[in-house]
Amino acid sequence: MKKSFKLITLAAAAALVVGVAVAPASQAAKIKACLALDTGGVDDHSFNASAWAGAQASTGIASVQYLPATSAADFAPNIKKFVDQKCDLIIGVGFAISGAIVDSANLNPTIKYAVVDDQGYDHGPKGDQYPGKPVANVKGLTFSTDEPSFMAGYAAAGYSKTGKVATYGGAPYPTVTIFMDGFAKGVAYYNKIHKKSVKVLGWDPAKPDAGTFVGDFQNQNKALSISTGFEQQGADVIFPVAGGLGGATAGQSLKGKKSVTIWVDSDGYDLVPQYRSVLLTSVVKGIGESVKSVITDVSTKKYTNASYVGTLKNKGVSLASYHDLAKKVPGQIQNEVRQLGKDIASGKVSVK
Amino acid sequence: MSFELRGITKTFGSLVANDSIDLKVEAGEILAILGENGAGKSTLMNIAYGLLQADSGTILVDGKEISINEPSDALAAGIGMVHQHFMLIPVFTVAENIILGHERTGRAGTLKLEDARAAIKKVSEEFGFDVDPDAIVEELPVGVQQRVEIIKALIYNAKVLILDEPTAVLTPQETDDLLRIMKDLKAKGTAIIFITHKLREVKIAADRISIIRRGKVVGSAQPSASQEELASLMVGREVTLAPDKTAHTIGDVILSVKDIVIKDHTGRDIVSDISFDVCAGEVLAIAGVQGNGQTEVARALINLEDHIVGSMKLDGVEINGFSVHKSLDEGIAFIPESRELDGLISSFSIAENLVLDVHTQAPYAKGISLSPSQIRAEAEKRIIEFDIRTQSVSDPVSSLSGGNKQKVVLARELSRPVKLLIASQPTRGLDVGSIEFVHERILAERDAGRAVLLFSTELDEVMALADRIAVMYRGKILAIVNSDVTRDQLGLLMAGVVSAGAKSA
Amino acid sequence: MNSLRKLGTKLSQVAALPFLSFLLAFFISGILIAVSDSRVLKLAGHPWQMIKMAGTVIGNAYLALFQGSIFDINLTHGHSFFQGFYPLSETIVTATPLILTGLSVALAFQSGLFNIGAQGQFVFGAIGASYIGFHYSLPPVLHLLISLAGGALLASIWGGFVGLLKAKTGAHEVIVTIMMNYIAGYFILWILKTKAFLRPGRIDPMAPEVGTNARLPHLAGADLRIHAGIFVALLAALFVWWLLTRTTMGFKFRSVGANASAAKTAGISIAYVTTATMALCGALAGLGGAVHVLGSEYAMTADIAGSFGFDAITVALLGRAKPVGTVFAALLFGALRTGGRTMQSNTETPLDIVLVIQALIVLFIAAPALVRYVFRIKNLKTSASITSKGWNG
Repeated sequence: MKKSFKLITLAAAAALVVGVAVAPASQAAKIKACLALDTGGVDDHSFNASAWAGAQASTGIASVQYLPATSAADFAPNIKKFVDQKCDLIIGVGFAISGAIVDSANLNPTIKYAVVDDQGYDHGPKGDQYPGKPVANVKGLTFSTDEPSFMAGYAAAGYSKTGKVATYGGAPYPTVTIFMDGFAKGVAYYNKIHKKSVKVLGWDPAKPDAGTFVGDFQNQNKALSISTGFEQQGADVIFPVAGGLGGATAGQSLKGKKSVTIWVDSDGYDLVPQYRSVLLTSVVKGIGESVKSVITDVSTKKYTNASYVGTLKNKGVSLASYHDLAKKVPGQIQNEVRQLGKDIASGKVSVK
Repeated sequence: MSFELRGITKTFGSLVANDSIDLKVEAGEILAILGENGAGKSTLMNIAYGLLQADSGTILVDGKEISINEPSDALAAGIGMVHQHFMLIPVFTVAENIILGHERTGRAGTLKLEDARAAIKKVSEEFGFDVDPDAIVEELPVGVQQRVEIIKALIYNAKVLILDEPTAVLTPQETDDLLRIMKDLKAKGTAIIFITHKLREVKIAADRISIIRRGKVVGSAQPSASQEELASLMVGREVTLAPDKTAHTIGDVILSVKDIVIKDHTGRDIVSDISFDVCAGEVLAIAGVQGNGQTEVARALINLEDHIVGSMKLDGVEINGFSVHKSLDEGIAFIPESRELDGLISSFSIAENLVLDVHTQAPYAKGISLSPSQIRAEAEKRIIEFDIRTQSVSDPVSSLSGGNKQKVVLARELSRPVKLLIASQPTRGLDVGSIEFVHERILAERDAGRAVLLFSTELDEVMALADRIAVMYRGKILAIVNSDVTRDQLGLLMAGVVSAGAKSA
Repeated sequence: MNSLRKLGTKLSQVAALPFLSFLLAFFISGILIAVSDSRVLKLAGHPWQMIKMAGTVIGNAYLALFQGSIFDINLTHGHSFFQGFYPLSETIVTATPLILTGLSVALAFQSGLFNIGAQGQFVFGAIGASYIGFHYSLPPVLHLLISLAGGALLASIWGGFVGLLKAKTGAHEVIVTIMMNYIAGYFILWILKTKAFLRPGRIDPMAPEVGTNARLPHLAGADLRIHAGIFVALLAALFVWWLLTRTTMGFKFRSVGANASAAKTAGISIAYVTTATMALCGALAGLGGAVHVLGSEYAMTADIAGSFGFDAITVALLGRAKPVGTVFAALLFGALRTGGRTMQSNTETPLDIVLVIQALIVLFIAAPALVRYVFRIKNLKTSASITSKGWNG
């Protein structure tokens, strides 16, 4: 025992010696932007990753950092940590964190806040007042994803040989159904222009209760069975609005060779190269762009609490290229979709 | 070939397990090493076999000093050992077990078992072993499993065979078979070291006897010495082997068992149509070879078995279907067959073990709250009354020797007001001193007017204690006889032979 | 004096293995921190400078771990000195539910059962407490007590069912509790979408916040999140200790845990012990869920249970399935979790290193031979018997 205690004391002493170490060097006049992530981790191939990428692209004007969350219980302490760190801008990633961001913003009026995918309104102490009041130092980062989805619906209808296309969501959140709405209306617009009757499976904007949903964003098996179900009903384009679960659909497309997939959130061509041959296109939600934009606002002292809305016009959302499948989409349709994008941006065509 | 241990000393901490022990055995000789549990017999033999290293001392084979650092050295020197707990893999066949550690492989790594089979057949025929090389070990009776161990030693040319408590696990018949085999081996020139504490076997088999007590050789004896002499040497004081059994009056029927059937979980009968009565002040022994349903009958009487059909009346109260707790409460003391498994909780203190079945009763508990001080105080009384040798009642029961453990069980069971004592193999694995104590306590209960039901496979024990003897064979009671039956008659009954000489009582 | 020394010896015996495992885990994690740091790797050509830099990096990381979990002087600037203990408050807030779930697993171990189901029991505790908390309006104190009791009771039924199933059919509790965790996980997803639980105006799964009367009071003002739940947890630990050592029921539990066969022979009903144990385990873990909702979260979400139920297994093992040990182990885990946050934000040492430390501690506890070898100690008291007991049927 004696010898071991010597070892322990030695180790403890060493720990003490190195423990009285230096504080991190202070940064230049850059602002300090801090990201409180949603659960899923920084490498979630989804909105956490996109937001962090946007922040990293701003390192010229800001020093950036993030904290991951393992559950909702981490949100408030993570934000508090950033307050103690004297961050100039705290960005909450994901609508789930919105409540914690608003709570912190009310306590710390000098700090600027932003929240991705929510307007960042105060819903009262019990969180049940809707639509709620805007907060002076919270900026919502939202996206008109129905615009590129509308284009995707048009393209899908133009591509479809069976006259049936499909979409499903992870869970019936507004941030999810907005894609599905746009997609279904885009198909309807195609039918109107071309006097066709392409059908949409899985979603009818008039009957939101009858939509097809996985129930969460993790259940690969359920996503797969939904996808095969759509295929059996004859759909040859499927648009999964369920983050990473899109992989299940694309995998089925690859295996069954009966359908193609439209990827969601970011360009799947770069993100999931194994599915390149079955990705018709992607509906891109520029979370990174929005994060970059709000960091720039704070840096240039132009920050307001008015919500940022990503649109086709400000390139906050977009429809990706057809990449490898470009040859399979008729040139006529490609031109129409391109023009449709311009018309939506200019307000000539309404996606509502 | 001669085998000699010279000046072997081995200490474990402050305990001297072997204190400069000298032993010698010659070819064609059986040397019995007699000693109580914990005397240091097993330590010595583990040193001889290379499982332990001696602190000092030498091992000589044919007068030449050899070093044995591990069992393979011992095997190479022609020393084989059959352990008390067999070193066999239960799901392997006999042949596979025998080649274990010496596997020979053919092309593409396939096992070559033919040689092993042939060798087993040869040895079996030579000694009349009757062992099938392709039988699965776990399906064999214990006695045959032991033969597999012996064959294993013989096949690897053991000239010295160490048998560590070989009869502890055997039935009387199997014991007799083993003793015969030992004589055959001896006749063919094998030297045998026979470790035991059973006096009768020593007298039958041994050529010479060395007695070990507290790590030292305290003397040697000839097989012609009386059992009492041997026991006294072993224990170090005068011992009475046959307890005084005074004649006395037998009272009313306490336990009445009628047409009991016990089924196992598959619905097969383990025990069928058993009936017997036990009266106050009498010992009814249920004798029989292990595995003939006695275990189940004993357990059934306190409702530890499921699926019991028939009637069990204790002092007129039908107890079939009671919970275990309620059965005990009706006035049954129960000494289970395995004190380690069923009798004691080894990590619990002695005091806690003494209240295992009465911990909810006053004075050990008030309402839901335990009274540790009362539990300790009562335990202090018990260890004096039952002569339990321990430093403190707070020590874990696992720190006790086998005999003292059994005394803890006895102390617990006999400190309640009971009408019936059920004792299942109460002296199994105990040394002479403890056996003497247990036997005296059992007879004391009988003399105090309690009914005693004794389950035992030991003929000596049955003969010494019983007023009447019921012999069980294949789940049935073959006969109930008076205690004046002869040893041979009883042995035959236990083997399932109903002889004309045995008269029912 | 003598008895004091005896106690000291006993304490050092019991605590030696966890402490040494702890030390070893920090040592190895330190190496990992150093070799994953670019500043250290850049100095590969200069061994001495590299070691110095590694020392600085490791020192900073562990300093941040301490600052983030116990006390941070920087937080007192412009605030009261008291505010410097904000990290300790966070540590206790995280540890509080963990103590309760840890006790749940520890109690099961004592009865020879392996309760993997603390996660599901936690969920039901949270559901019960949350519903009573937001749906009813009751006077102060009463509302809190009923919410706590409601959560514990619901979870107790959930847990007790496993015990009953085992007692009646022999279904192994490990398998049953694992499956019941899935059921609980999906159940909370579903129930949060029902009208009874859905927050007005929202469609994402989040329950309304519990009423102020149902909340556990803060202990050190509104600035620190530390709440009275820690007293609930400590009382529960005291209760488990009392139950195990001072009651007939606890005696039965321990008997069955140590040797079920002997306990049965002595007339102790295994079915009763199994059912009662699992019901109590459920109540403890459920209390954890209730305290988490009523003390710090207020609004229940689908991932309310986080990993409290699974970390509980590690905590109980680390605490040797003893109440006091479990409390300390939970506090340690709470400190690591909250400290890891500061470590990541101050020094950019990944939060994941905390998981490595946790895993290493458990690894060394489970492999005492390794610790014995490293420190050259004989006779280290081990807890291997606890881990192996869970499967005895």
